[in-house]
Amino acid sequence: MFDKALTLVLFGVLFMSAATVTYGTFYDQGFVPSVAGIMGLADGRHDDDHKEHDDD
Amino acid sequence: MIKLRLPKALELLLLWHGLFAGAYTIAYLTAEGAPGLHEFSGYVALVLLAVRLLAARLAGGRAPWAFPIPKASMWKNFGHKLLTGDLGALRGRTPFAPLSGLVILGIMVLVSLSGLGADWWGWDDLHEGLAEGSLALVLVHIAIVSFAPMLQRLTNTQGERKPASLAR
Repeated sequence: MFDKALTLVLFGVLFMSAATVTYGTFYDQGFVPSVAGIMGLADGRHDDDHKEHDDD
Repeated sequence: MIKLRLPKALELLLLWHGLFAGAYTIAYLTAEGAPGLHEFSGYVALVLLAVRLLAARLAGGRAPWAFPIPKASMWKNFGHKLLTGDLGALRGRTPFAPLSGLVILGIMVLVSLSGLGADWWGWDDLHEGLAEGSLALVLVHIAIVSFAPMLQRLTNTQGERKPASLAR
């Protein structure tokens, strides 16, 4: 049972990675930032581009 | 020929476990730098948790969807074996495994609800603190559930080696 549980945990991580990247590609910041995001490499400047225009 | 069949309740629970572990992992990894993805995976984890709690409520005391509360008899047998010096008790399913699952379920409810609060009412500090604490509990849970199978494998490996060394 341990092996089956471990396999399904790995499947779950892969499935959720794919689902999150799909969501990020179409509804958030695009493919590359989403891949960087799920790898923990994103810089967190989600709304910075929009905020810069607030001063104009 | 491959015969298709409906999954058993235990297989569905393991599938739920895998999906929840995936949602938690992605939510943890995206917490610092990708708020949109963090919210997506966090809401998926919240829905999965709601499904688990509802299933436990509907299942009543029936395994495997019931809450993982270790039975008194399980503690009694485990304690009795340890007191008599039978360390084989550690190789089987110990009561610490379901107990750690129950603790994880509890902390995940708190983490998910505080995440909802962080999204709507700015409970960011509470959510962050609980999430960091939950990682430590998850690591303890992994250590507990993987200890018995690892010990079992180690014992089997040593058992296989013995005849070869005797032959020399």
